Amino acid sequence: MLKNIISQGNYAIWPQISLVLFLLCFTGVLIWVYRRNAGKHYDDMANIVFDESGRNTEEPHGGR
Amino acid sequence: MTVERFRYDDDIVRKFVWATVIWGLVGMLVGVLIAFQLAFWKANLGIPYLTFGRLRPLHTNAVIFAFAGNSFFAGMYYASQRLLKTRMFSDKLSRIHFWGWQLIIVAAAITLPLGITTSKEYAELEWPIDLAITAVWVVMAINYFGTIFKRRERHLYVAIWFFIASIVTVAVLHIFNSLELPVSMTKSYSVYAGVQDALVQWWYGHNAVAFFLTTPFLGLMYYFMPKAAEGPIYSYRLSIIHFWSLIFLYIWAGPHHLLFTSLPDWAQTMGMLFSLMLIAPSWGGMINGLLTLRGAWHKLREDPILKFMVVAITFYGMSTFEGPMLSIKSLNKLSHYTDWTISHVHGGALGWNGFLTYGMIYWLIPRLYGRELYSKKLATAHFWMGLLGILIYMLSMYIAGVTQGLMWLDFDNEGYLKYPNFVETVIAIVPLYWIRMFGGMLYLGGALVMLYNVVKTISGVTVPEDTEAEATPYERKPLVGSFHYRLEAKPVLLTVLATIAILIGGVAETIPMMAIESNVPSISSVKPYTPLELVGRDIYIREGCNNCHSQMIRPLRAEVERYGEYSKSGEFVYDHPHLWGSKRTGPDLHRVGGKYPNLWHLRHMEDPRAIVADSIMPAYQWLLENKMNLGDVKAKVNAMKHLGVPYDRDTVENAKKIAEAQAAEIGADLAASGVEGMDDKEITALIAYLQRLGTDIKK
Repeated sequence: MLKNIISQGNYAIWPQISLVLFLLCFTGVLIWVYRRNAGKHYDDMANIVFDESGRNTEEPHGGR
Repeated sequence: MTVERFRYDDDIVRKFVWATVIWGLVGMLVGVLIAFQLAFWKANLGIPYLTFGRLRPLHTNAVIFAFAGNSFFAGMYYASQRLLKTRMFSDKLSRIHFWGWQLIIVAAAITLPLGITTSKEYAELEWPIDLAITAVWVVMAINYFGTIFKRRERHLYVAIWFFIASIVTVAVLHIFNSLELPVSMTKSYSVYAGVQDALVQWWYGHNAVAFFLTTPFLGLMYYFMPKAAEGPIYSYRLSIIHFWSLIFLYIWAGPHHLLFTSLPDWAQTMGMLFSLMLIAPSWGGMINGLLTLRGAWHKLREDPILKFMVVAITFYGMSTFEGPMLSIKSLNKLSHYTDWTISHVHGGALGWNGFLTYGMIYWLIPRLYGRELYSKKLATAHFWMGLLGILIYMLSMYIAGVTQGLMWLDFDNEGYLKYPNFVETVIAIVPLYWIRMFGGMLYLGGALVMLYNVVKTISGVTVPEDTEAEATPYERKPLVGSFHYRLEAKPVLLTVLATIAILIGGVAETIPMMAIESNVPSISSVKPYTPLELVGRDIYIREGCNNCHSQMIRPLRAEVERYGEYSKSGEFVYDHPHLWGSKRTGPDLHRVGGKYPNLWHLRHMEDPRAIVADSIMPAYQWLLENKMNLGDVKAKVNAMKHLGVPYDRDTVENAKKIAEAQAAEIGADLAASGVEGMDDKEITALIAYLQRLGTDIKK
């Protein structure tokens, strides 16, 4: 049954579909990550490497 | 607010650092030896355990799993404890992981020279060792995730995401690629056959590079580069894009190892496209690493650690650009099976993995032993020796690769192959093999300088107690912030999402490949191997013939002219495992069956120079002396039957008799040619196998 369903697929166009899907997702993540109001969180996270004292990183950051 | 005091487990880091140093030297020494063997065939010494075919997998396994593996674990244990602000979950599990991993490496170092191998690249270890790898990996994962759950720092830094993705993905890759049916304690057959086995193998092989040599080292880069540069990572935002797009894309790219093979075209195109897309996240990561040094480039002049790290990241950038370029079909046509690939992988291994490891070790040693490095000058000398070694290595192999590729494809004005005799293309590159060996020796020399420097640094030092640290306890309170901000505090969700990201590509490629019969059109004349041919095939695997000879004729005019009809997917349906190979140090063998008489093969194996004057192939005279083992031939045929190979009951029950009868025929033919007493020798089984190769479609 499952084998039959899978066999119906036209896999020749998978590369093109996956390319378009990935580019859309990639662009979406790019815009989302670089949106304006997300800055402070990233600065705090980048500095965790140097945080030897257990500083609290749980202050509110950015919008939901 | 309460502050908790605790100690990091530095001892486990020291252990892994030393394992990295020692196994690195062993892996590179074997590398230099096999480079020597290619330049000078007598260096095979006529000893079965030391031939190129058996030692090459030892070299790759030692460098990947012993050198790079221990380096990954050393850095992961050091960085994770500090990023999570806690000691490892269990000291006992840490030590089981350490000693278990070293035992696995020792097992590999014993079994591979003995010829105990599955033949699958970077997964050559036989099933009992595969089980041990699984057990040790599970122990490590329990310990690692246990540490994450007892952490004091709520947010997981980007390095931890890369470690998590590596742990999960390597487990998935190892389990699915290692599915095999045991025949004995030292022999098993892959459950996959032919094209499907090749796809799974390169899904694994490519992603072993991705998730054992790339993502863990990116985790190390994200921790140690800011530490060494004394400044935060250039862009944390970029690291988010880098992480998710990289782990999602990498898994799809495996089929680029199988361009122009019998793999269906849609899968090849998918592998090529995703490889090209990989440039984006890879270079994002490279830029992120390099620009971490913004405003501090002047430190490069004085600091050998930064020198190592910056060059490592540069090699990461070069390799991740070259890889996608080599995945373009028109370039792959030239580069595949040549030493160009060898140059490419060594740029990654020596440049990226090696140099990042050395930078990390030079940074760690003074901190782990509480004493300044013995000599910065020696560290700088190591850097220059290593860099020069890599460049000499890579340039010689580039020239060798392009030379081979062009000579293989070249036609004269009359339309005939310009270099019809394969050995002509070997003679042309032997001088470059000498130069390559020199480059490798220089790199190894640099590693020895580091050993001296490190030994001098710690000699007479009292090993310090574990580092004491303090941190506020983990507080569970609602998080307010963006999705990714909250995700970074949820290791389970992050792990699940990372797992989904890596599974999509694998599922999308392998399930249609397994399920759709039209992907592998059947050929009615293709029949299972006879019991004797099966025994011969196992000897071929034992000797590592697939490390130098491919069994895949690409549908290119030059290949069809040189080797014969191009290979069809339906010809490999009974090949558990496939033996397509990835490198042609010698010619392709897929259509060698019936091409030469039995005596030719016997003389060629006994002394390749007696047949091909300038051959660099080792002599396999022991095949004419060793008695073939037919004691387990019934078990082998039976195992194949269980895997779906259509042997009838009679063949299974009488496997030994059938094998002996075929051996007697070949023995009689050899006797008629003047060589007596070969009926029960290993060479006869190997000849039976070689004479069968690629002949079914001619029937």
